[in-house]
Amino acid sequence: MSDQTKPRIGVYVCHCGMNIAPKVNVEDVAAHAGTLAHVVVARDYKFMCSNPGQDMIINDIKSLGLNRVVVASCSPRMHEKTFRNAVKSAGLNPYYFQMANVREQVSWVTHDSMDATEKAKALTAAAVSRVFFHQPLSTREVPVIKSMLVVGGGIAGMQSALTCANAGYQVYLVEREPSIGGHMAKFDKTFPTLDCAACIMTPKMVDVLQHPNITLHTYSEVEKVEGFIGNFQVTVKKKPRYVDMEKCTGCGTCMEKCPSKKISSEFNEGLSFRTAIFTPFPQAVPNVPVIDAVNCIVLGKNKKCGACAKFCETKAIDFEQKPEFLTLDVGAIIAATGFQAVNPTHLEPYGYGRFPEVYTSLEFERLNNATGPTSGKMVMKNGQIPERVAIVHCVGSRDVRHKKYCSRVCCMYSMKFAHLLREKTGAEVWEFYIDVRSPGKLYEEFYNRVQEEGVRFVRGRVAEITDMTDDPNDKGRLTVVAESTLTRRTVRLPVDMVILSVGLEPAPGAEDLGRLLGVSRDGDGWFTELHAKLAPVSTPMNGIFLAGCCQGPKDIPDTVAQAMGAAGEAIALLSRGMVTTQAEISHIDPDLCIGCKSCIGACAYSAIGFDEARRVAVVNEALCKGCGSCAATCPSSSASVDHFTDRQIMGELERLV
Amino acid sequence: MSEYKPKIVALVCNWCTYTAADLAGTSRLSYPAEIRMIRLMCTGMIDQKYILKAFLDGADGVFIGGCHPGDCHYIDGNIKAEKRIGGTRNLLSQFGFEPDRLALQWIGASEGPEFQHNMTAFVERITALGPSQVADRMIL
Amino acid sequence: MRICFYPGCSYASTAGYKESTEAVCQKLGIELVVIPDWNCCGATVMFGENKLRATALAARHFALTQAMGFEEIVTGCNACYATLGKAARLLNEDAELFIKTKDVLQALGLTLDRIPKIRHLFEILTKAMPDAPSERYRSLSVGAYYGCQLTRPHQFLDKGGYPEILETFLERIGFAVTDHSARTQCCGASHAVIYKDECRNLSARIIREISDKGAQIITTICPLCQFNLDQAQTGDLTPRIPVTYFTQLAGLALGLSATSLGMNKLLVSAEKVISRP
Repeated sequence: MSDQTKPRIGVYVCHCGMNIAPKVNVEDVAAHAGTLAHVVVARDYKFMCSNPGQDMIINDIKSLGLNRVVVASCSPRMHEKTFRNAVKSAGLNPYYFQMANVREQVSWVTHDSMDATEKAKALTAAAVSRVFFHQPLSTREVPVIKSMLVVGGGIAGMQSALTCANAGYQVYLVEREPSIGGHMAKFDKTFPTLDCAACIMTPKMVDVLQHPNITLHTYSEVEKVEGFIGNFQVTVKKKPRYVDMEKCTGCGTCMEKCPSKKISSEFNEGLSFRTAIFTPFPQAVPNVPVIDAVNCIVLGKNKKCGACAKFCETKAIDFEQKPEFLTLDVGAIIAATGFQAVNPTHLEPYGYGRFPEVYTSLEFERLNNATGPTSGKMVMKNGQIPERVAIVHCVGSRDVRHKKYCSRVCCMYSMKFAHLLREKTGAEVWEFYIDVRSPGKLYEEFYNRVQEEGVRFVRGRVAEITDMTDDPNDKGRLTVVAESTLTRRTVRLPVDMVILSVGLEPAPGAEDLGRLLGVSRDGDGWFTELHAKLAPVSTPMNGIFLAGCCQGPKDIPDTVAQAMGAAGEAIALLSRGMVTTQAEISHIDPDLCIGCKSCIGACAYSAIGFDEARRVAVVNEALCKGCGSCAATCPSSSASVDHFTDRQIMGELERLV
Repeated sequence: MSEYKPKIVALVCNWCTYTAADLAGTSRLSYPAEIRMIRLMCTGMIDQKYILKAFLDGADGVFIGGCHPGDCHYIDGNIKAEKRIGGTRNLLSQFGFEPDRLALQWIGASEGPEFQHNMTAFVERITALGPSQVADRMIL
Repeated sequence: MRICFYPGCSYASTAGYKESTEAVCQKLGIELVVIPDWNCCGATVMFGENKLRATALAARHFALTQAMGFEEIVTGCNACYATLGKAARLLNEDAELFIKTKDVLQALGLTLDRIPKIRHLFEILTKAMPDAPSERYRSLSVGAYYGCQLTRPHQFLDKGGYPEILETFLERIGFAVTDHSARTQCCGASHAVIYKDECRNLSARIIREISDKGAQIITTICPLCQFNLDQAQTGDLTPRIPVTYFTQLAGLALGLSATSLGMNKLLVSAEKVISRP
């Protein structure tokens, strides 16, 4: 040991109320720890994390001259920080501390009390053995760049951006579509209050565009993310719009003149057409069209046209535009990439794609929308008003063959559809559900309301939607086949229109963004938050936060609340102004390094350079993340990660078995 | 006469398998007490010598738990670990020891039940193999 | 080409499936080597009864096939196809079941080391049939009926809900096809024996759908389907429309006579429809 002072170790075994004791005989564990080499004091206490518990440690450090501390309690992911702070406040380097996890790994998962006690003893002894080799480490404070990036311009991203911008920080909002607005821009009414989505949405979109602190990059995607909390460098690709944003006045003449008029409109879910030069919808922000290079006669087919350019008075059309790459320096990043609706084509028994009167919920949103293909008239493809409509819940959700989870919003929007159908058309509406899930403010009341409005509810998953009819009078209609589990009968219901309430799945590209950000995704593809309950907007990557559906299905109120929460976390970071760098980073001992450069190849962050003069590898501390790939690769044991050195790990190993 | 209880060391990544173990804990999913875990930042930092050290200290099995491919917190530390551990398994068998005493599994942060299942299965596997001869033979 | 053929219980007793299969195979140069001493496949019933017994019953053929030196078993019945396929899948997945099954077979003096591939006769004929050998039936509208077990529960051959392989096949060999929605509707299957009236309604619905959509003739791929659909027309629930096997249509395309394809055994005669399509 390089230390002059002899190790004097204090061991503290926590009861955690009734969580560790009595399964683990804590007195026994403490007594055993007391017999270990260099242990000066070993105690047990009801709650080590409480103030008296921490004071016990602090007092012992001061009065007994402890210079190492071990706490056997819960997971270090829970309280390592707490105890490090306690150790620090007693004047000791916080890294002279080690935790043994005897709750999550022992008392909660072990049947036998004797076994649990033995295991707790071993884990505590291993921690004592490890802490012996601990070294004092220091961290640095580095300034935080006072700007932030929001990825995704739906309601979540917009809300996060506005909140941060209102707090006075510079915000870059990156959206891959030509306009911000996301899914909410497609809706007409929102449940359960039935307020007009456009009325609450469009002003927000304009706010985002006009806010002095927000820089909007639409039709752009994140390409690369480097750096660390407080200091990210993000490369953004601006896809060519082929329209000069400065010159365009948004007059729309180009769209009138474009001869390629039969392109399926993404915004209207394929229910109408758009031109090759287009804005997704009339209220688009920014109100600058883009040219769809695939369908454009000039760009896609390499033929003569240029009608748009000919008629553009400001000469804004630029067929030569190339992708542009920007580098943004930001202190924090919020991912708000949202969701996509499940495409039900592969659920063949529902006949989507085969029967024209089978719609997805998003298609129906467009049918219902005043700016949609039918100007808000709920009519069938033949122009007639449906007399009877079936709404099928849980399409693709709550199904082991597709998505196991509940998509959370479908029951409510299905009932919204039912209400609007009753109101606008007077049609008979049948909801086929498994369970109606309406937990939310005024949601259950809305469920009651639509029942009172005469909407029929059949409890049973729909087996099939078919154009086979038993009664010749129903020819041309669809038949919904389901088992009504309450009446235990098979229902064969002739209807005019079917709406599939499709579930939500992560937006395409979430996987790539997750990789760029280093944010992991759960089994269903949603971004994983740091803690399900206590850190729902944070991620394990410091400085990166989550807002909206990219973290899991949620409705608009929850999305907005979470977006504000993520903004709050980002603001807290930016206003703190400084971040502490990680202490656990790699070092290469130049005396041991043989200059083989294995570590350079192993480092995923290009954090190791080579000093040609001394023929040794050198770690760039600002880039190192402390993963230890270099240490495991190094043939001469010259590379090691602080706080995870060979001696420390070997020390722990020695007492474990 | 007591029944044989193997000694097992688990070297796990902080970001997924350790978190899965915490989740198994909070969900009260019990597994054999023979599992003794060491938390590392990444499976990519696992040096062969830690594994050999564990066997030499008397471990009957070594379990390594990392993030699923593509989910590594440090981009690809888990993939490096997979390759390195393949080498260690070869090393074990070259010296006449059962390579099955060393296992590598991907267990994601949300996979508490998978963690429990893997631990139980690994203890069963090692129990079936019986006490390891590594430590004894090395002394010779 | 020689194939190892498992006929199943209804192959020989139905309206010309045996005759048409043999005639078509002969014409195409396919030799059907029938598994000697074959037994019941167990159908859907046995698996509900006892997994090991059901598996062993099916696996007996796997051992016999192995002894014959074949790697594949071909069957023309959807139920046999599904049952043998299920047994093969279980044996491939479950090592313990494999060992137990081997033991059972050993007691019968049979050896089982490898699991053969289970193929449907349809797959064999799809490969072997030439493109439109005749243009004679180009305007004959065929409604293809798959039944339940060809694509479900395992979607080996095509997607479960709305398969299209039969249509593709029929168009290729020279027929017109009718798009309809009864492709995989339940015909009542073996329940037709006990719940006669209920099943007749089920079959009648299928016939009405296919006939309403404009088909002149129905083709099936499973013995029980053919039987149920054919006999459902003996009452007055449905229009009359002949129900054939896909092998019979393949035979017609190849220029074979209706009688040689056993079509004289159909309850609803196809004579008119095929004589002037």
